Amino acid sequence: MNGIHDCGGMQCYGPVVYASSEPAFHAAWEARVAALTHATWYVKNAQLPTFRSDIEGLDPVDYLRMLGECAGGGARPRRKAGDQRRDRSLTG
Amino acid sequence: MSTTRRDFLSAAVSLAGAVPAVGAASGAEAVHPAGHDHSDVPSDIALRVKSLESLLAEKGIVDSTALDALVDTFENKVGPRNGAKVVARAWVDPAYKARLLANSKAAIAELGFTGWQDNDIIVIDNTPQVHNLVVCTLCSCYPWSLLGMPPTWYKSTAYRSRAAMDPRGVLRELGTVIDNAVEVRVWDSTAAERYFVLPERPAGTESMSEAALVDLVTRDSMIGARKIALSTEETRE
Repeated sequence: MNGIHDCGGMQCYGPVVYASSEPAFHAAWEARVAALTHATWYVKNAQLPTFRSDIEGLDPVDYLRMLGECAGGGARPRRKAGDQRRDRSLTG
Repeated sequence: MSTTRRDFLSAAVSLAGAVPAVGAASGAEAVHPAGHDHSDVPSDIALRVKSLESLLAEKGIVDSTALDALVDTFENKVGPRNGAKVVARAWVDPAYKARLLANSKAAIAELGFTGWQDNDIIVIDNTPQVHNLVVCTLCSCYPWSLLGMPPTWYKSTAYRSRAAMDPRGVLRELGTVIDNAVEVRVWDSTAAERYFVLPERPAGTESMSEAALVDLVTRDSMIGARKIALSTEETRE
């Protein structure tokens, strides 16, 4: 599926900013998000395997903000028709 | 209503006479623009994450103790040291190296390292003729159980977008110059297959023990981003 996530071959992002070492997480909330992602992945994706399509369905600006490539940091929750279906899968 | 969540929290904290939490915070949460009215209220993203965790715990979907254990795993139990042990064993034990290249996942499991995800790990061997570089162009797929959390540059769109198109140029930006006579192969990771580079054993390390070799192996050498350089002290050993 074409989209902002499929960035192989794009030439607009400039040189790689390299650091030889860095902590596993840069802030406490990053660690909690990683843990939440893993913990809920097994719950949610087993019921409704939409993890990948959810990422690919993000608005391009939100996707880049999620990666810290745009100012703001953190994607806005995207709401549209059909999202209740996903919410229900979380509430079991 | 014009009062924002941040205004409300700031006012609430002021009324409570809270002491700003200073010193314990690190990273992004500790960084504030000059003059910013700040540290007694967590950043928006930190608040959002706390709220999300509370909601999921309240609904019985996650257990905060289990999340603590996951964080401990990410921070302390997985990391490049695991991968370095695999590399050092392969350097000193040709039979292990053969098993590692033939059935990577099983050979890695011999050392006790098993991933928690249903994906395969494929070890690719650097040689004097071939240099391998790993990328995940679609996101950040990475052999976590061997290397820990992927570095920021690996996840950046700058790296993901150009690693396959211009690997020698990207390697130069990472500080690695590959001779034109050496073939460069780029491996694009998927959810199902993670790649792990077995770097070349540096010349001059023939007398080093397996334990000493572990200390030589860097995270980035196992991604193919850097070669292993010996310090003067190591060369003398």
